[in-house]
Order: sequence, then C-alpha cells, then structure tokens
Amino acid sequence: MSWIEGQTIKEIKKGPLTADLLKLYGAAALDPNPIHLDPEFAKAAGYPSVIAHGMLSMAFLAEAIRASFPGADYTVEKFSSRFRKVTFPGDILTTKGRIKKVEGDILHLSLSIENQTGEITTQGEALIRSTQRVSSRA
Amino acid sequence: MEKTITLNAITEKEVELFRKATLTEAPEFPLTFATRFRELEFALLTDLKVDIQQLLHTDQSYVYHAPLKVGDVPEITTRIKENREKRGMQFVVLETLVKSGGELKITSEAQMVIRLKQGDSP
Repeated sequence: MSWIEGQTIKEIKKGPLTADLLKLYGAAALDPNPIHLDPEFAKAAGYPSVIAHGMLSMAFLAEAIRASFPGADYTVEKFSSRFRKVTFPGDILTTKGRIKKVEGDILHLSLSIENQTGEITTQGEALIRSTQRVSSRA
Repeated sequence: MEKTITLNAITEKEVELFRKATLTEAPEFPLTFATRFRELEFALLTDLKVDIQQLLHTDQSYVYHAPLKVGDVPEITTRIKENREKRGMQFVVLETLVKSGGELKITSEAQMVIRLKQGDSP
C-alpha cells in the first residue's frame, strides 16, 4: 500500500505489565539490572516498585512497526527511542505512530507510547524502506 | 575505552524466548534483539564505577546494515563514545558494533544518565 504524510499506523496495546513479565524479559534480554527485578533495590533508588525496562517499551514499538510494515515488504533501516518516563507493573501501554515524511521509497515514522493516564512514556522514530515491487507512484 | 567479545551463535530458542518476553508473535527477527548483546556496556559502566542504582537508560538507537539471523555468531565491540557531566548528572553514550562473519550488521547507541550524589565525579 502507499502511505501519505500524516497517516497514522496501527496501535498496539500491551499490559497491564507484571513483575513476572519483567523477570521473563530480563532473562530473555540478558539484562541483569536489579532495578527491574528486586523491589528493595528499586525502593532504595527512590521508586515505589520495580521499574519496567525501557527496552521492553522499545520492543512494543517494534511490534507496532511490524504490524503496519511487515518484513516481506519493508526493511527497517533505523529505529530509535527516548525513554521519557519510567513505567511500572500495572501500567497499560499503547503505541501510537504516524508517517512524518515520505521520500520516494523511504518512510519517516514518528512513534510514541502512552500509559493509561495518557502520559507519553516513550518517543521514537524509524526510517523504513519499502521493498514492494509495485509502486503506487506515477 | 573499547572492549570486544565473540558470543555463541544465535539460536531459534533464544529468539522464541525473546518473542515471548516481548509479547509479540511478529514473525520477523526482533528489531531489538541486539539488546542481548549489552554485556560489554555493563562491563564498561562498571569500569567507570557508576552507581547502577542511579542509572537510567534514556535513549537507544539502532542502525540496521544487514539482517541479523539465527545462526549468526555475534562479534561485539563496545566503546564509550561520550562521558560528560552536566548539572549533577553524568551522561554516558555507549556505541556497540554487531558483526557476524566480519560483516557489520547493526550499530547500536545507548545513552545512560546517572544521577550524581554530592561529591561524586565521573
């Protein structure tokens, strides 16, 4: 399909996050930081509970990218995230995305994640190349 | 400062576990799988003697040069690209190159912010 600037992409909703999910993610991602696993450690750092991995949020954005831009037709060339607010077990996260710019076969995506109160927790960008053989361009 | 390590070949089982832990059934190789290759980041941060309790991963970027896949043997090189202090915060940028068979696959850049206590210095 062809994309136009300003068009939004499919949203993905995840959660509520759980402490068990953070343990599983820590094992899968080889992240040993106890701030995601040990409530006492997290409290000593000034948080009410363990905090979720920023990279878990980035993985949710990755799924949002793939939901609209499957690997058969698109190559992701760049992908970045800024983790603006910490997320916690219990949070429900929703991805948002829109086409910021179209340059030939290259799409510039603007991405974000909102928590259940509407706060933006993560912002991101991606540069995606369409590899579809049929082009809608004249 | 720079460190290099060669890891074991990526297995289907590792990729499946990663999909499960990120709640995805997307069939593509996960875009953030290279987060598994951060052990040299942790080693360099330990060398810098940062307080991990005060550390937050604030930014992450990936540039994908070639597809990473099951069976690839990741050769990881991580260096400290920036290390500066501003207004009681230490900012450390770590750059990681992921190669397999000598081919550059991914360039990763991670920014860490460490809240400094009075008297600390990077």
